[in-house]
Amino acid sequence: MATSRPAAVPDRLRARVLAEWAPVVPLRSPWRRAWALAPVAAVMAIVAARYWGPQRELDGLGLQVTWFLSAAQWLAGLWVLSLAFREAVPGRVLERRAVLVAALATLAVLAVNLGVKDVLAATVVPAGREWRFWTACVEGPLLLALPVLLLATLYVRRAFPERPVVAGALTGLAAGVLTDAGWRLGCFVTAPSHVIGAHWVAVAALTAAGALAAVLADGLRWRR
Amino acid sequence: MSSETERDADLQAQMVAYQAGRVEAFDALYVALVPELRAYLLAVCRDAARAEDLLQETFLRLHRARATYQPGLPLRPWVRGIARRVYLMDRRAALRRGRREDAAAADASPVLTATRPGERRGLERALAGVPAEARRPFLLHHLFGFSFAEIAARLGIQPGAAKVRSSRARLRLRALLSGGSDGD
Repeated sequence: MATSRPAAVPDRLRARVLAEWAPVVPLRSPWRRAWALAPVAAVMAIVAARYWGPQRELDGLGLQVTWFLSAAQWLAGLWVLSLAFREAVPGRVLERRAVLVAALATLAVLAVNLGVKDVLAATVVPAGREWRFWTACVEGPLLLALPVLLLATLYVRRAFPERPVVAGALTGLAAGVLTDAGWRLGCFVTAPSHVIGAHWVAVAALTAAGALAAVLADGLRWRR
Repeated sequence: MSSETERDADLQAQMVAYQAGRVEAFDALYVALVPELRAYLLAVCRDAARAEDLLQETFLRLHRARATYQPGLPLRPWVRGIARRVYLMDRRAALRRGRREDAAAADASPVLTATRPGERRGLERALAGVPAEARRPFLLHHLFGFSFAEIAARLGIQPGAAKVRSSRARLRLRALLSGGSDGD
């Protein structure tokens, strides 16, 4: 059966393929690859939660409102990350509707966490310190999300994405949501204007950064 | 339909052997996939020499990305995804190099089946008369062999809608080719 087949492969292609010949281990499922990054994501979320030290304002809220809701958000971030890894595999691109659902579901989780905390323990930014709080709550999550974003971008690049922008944007969104799961505990301010204007802006910036990083990383593959 | 599934199952087995390092599995995959990929690349770039280059490039990229295939999943969508990316990146490179004419030609509706120039031009004209939203499902199904479920996923519509649009395009095309100005 195979005796006549080798002749069908052009010599040049055969030589180039054989020069890079080695058995490979197939990629694991997207969900398992996402879990492979879970330890890093968990450490960065915990660092984010303790960035400003223990938050006494949260003591009265109970575990359900604080750590439990953050854990739910963290799992949502991991789910988005698995979607990004799926999107990055050729032939497994997500439908537009699936991408939209992922974005809206993530937004819903963020909104619920914001609403619950704000209803139970409303706090605002101290007067005169708005700019300082804003910069801290944008820069902090951006920096803390970098390890997850960089590692996830490498995973995406390795998978040969058909649409690097989409895969990268989902990666950035996931990195932002995972880190914000801890940051929301570290920042005592619950005012929607601050959370949306700073925390969510950081998540949006990470989404854009993820898309850009994936495009740049993928571009290196195509340089001849 | 079932023979198609069986054929893909056979290809999947070859792919797993290929990932494990069996050279003859690569040869078998090459033989099995070349006709379909060549047809696709020729259809999108409409230049036999360029299509042949892209075909070899696709297999080289496929080789480098072989670890990304997950055993158990259909093989064809994975291969098509790589071929499509190779084509798009080549087109982008062509644009950067200033070969805008090539890229514009590649953007036009692909016509594969018409071999004589006159036939091809006639078919191109007729295809241009088919609304774009119906033309894409029609070409993806009849020219590239995508299932309606795959087309629906790509275009973000229901499989039923993809089928209806393809059918409308076929009727419209038939009317245009038979000399009618209106397909409905």
